[in-house]
Amino acid sequence: MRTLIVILLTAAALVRAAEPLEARWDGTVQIPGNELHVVIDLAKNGGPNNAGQWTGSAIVPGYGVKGAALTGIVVRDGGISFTLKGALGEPKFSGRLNPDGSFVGDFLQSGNTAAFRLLKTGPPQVDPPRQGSAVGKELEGEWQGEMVLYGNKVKATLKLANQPTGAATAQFIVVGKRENILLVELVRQEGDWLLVDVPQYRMTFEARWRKDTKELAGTFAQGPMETPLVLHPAAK
Amino acid sequence: MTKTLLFLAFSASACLAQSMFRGDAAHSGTYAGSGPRAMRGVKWKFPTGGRVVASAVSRDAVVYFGSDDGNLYAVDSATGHQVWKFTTAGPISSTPAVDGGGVYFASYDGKFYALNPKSGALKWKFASAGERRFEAKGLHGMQPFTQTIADPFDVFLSSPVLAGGAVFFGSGDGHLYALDAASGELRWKFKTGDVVHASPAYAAGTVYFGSWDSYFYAVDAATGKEKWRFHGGEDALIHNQVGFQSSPAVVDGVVYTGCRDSNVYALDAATGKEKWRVNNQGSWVNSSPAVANGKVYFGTSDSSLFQAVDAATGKPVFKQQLKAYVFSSPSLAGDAVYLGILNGTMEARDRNTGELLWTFQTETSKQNRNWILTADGKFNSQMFYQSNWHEGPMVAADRQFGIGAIFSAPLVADGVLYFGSADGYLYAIE
Repeated sequence: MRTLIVILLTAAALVRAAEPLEARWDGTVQIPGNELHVVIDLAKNGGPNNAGQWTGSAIVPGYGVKGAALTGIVVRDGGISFTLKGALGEPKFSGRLNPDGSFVGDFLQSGNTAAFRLLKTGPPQVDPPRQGSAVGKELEGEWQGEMVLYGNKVKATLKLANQPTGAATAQFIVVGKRENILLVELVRQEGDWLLVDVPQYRMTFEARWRKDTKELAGTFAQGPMETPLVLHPAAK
Repeated sequence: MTKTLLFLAFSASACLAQSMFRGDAAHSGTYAGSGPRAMRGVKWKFPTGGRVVASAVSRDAVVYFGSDDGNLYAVDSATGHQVWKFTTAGPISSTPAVDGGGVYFASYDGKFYALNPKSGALKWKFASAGERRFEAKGLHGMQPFTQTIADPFDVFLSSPVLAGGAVFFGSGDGHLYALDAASGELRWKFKTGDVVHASPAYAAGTVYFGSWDSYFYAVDAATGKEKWRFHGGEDALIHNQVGFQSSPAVVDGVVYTGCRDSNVYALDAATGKEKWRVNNQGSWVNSSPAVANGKVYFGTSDSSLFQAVDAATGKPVFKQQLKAYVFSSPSLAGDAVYLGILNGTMEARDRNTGELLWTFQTETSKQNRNWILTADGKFNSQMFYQSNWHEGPMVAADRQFGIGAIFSAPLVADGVLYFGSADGYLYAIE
């Protein structure tokens, strides 16, 4: 039995040793006149549904970037490449492990290229991506309201539906001079708070479910601009 | 005897029940146990996407703090790993207050938040009339004189204090707010003449705080009615020597506060009558005093001094010359006192003599990019301050802070020292 445990532990250690890129990497990108400090977390086997897949996130101190997701991670022939999603103009990292143990390569952003060199500082601490959630039964369906956006009165419609995956999806339609269908990326309910996120346009709708008045009372925001928005169940 | 034991037990549990800026509701700056008298090294450091200027608090082996990247973080104190984060739409330059029911803090997005301490889920939020920095025409001699300029050194937001089921905090809209801690409903608000970014202290049913309108206020915690006000210095020309950025400590019926008019004041907590003042010849006292065992400890900005004075008389006990400005507040634990400095260093000193025990320097400070510091760690202003026109002073302040400046007041918990740096990290030093 003891031998079996030793074998299993050794095997596990070998598997881990086979992934030298799996770590927290800390270093700089040599942008001319501005050394950019970056922290990259890379991990394999991120969860039960993505076993064997790489996941990652990035931190860029001073640029407001904490836990930005790494997408398109490709590990091939000793090299790795990935894109930093939703920050700094979505730069691409393309690199490899150096014999001295450092992670080196190129940082490509808006047609510019700079060298990066990162050092291993510990095990990875990948920021989990934001997860959507199901919404309560009372929130499922169509909601309507009006708000004042940049001085104009516009109509807003929110359609919420729970999906078999366990998370809700939403359709958010804002009608002013024309109809705008907003691409909702995340719907989340925590207690009586509902968040509808449209990162493509830096828009959010955050509202509190008022059980007594049966309304979603909250704020529609685009960047620093905020306006009150109260939604009521659509007439059936 | 039984009553005494019961009282002591209640007091101890009351102390443990809440964690907030400066250690307690009265803001004594005193922490239970000891911190590291000798430094072993960095236990862990936690990177964020922005400056960490406010301070950390801890409860149940979790450290809570905000970053200018807009996130409020809960971090495991043993491992330094993230437990959860909550994202707001503005920098969080306010130190959270934590009790069993919530984590309370202000964000530059103009909202005040209450979160579940375990999960980070939103409990409620409250909108003030909006945040802003202190501003004035010709501020600090910046040009052009005819233009209103925001103060780059107004780095903190007000940190909340919890007492009697309420949470109290100041706002850039000029008010002090009292909210019901459970529901977020407004109990009252008190109007001052300018930005309130100092943090209120609470003692015996009264809330004490200073405003940038040059007044220091005592307000009834239950009703929001003014009890007294004290007038600090004015500076009508360049608005440099005016305003309370320092937060008060209330100990044994006396309020101690620093002021930008370069004084440290001791005021009678009941009447507001001045007991003594220590003048620092034009040097701001943005540091919030720590008070214990009959001594008041504070740091100064331009003169870069760390001082201890007698709490009863204001007479000097010791005065130590530092290398750079102090905005951080001293924290007392055991026989040591800990203080952050804007050159990116954290110092531990003997609390009786002020003698240096050890210094920690951030990596950013060591690298000294663009020679912001002289070789011996002082500010090298000729290299970063080129002009007082247009955005020159703003750029200079940004370069200065970029050295890994430590604004944060250190937290001492279980023998470990926690503090933030403008390099974006929260450090745990043992």
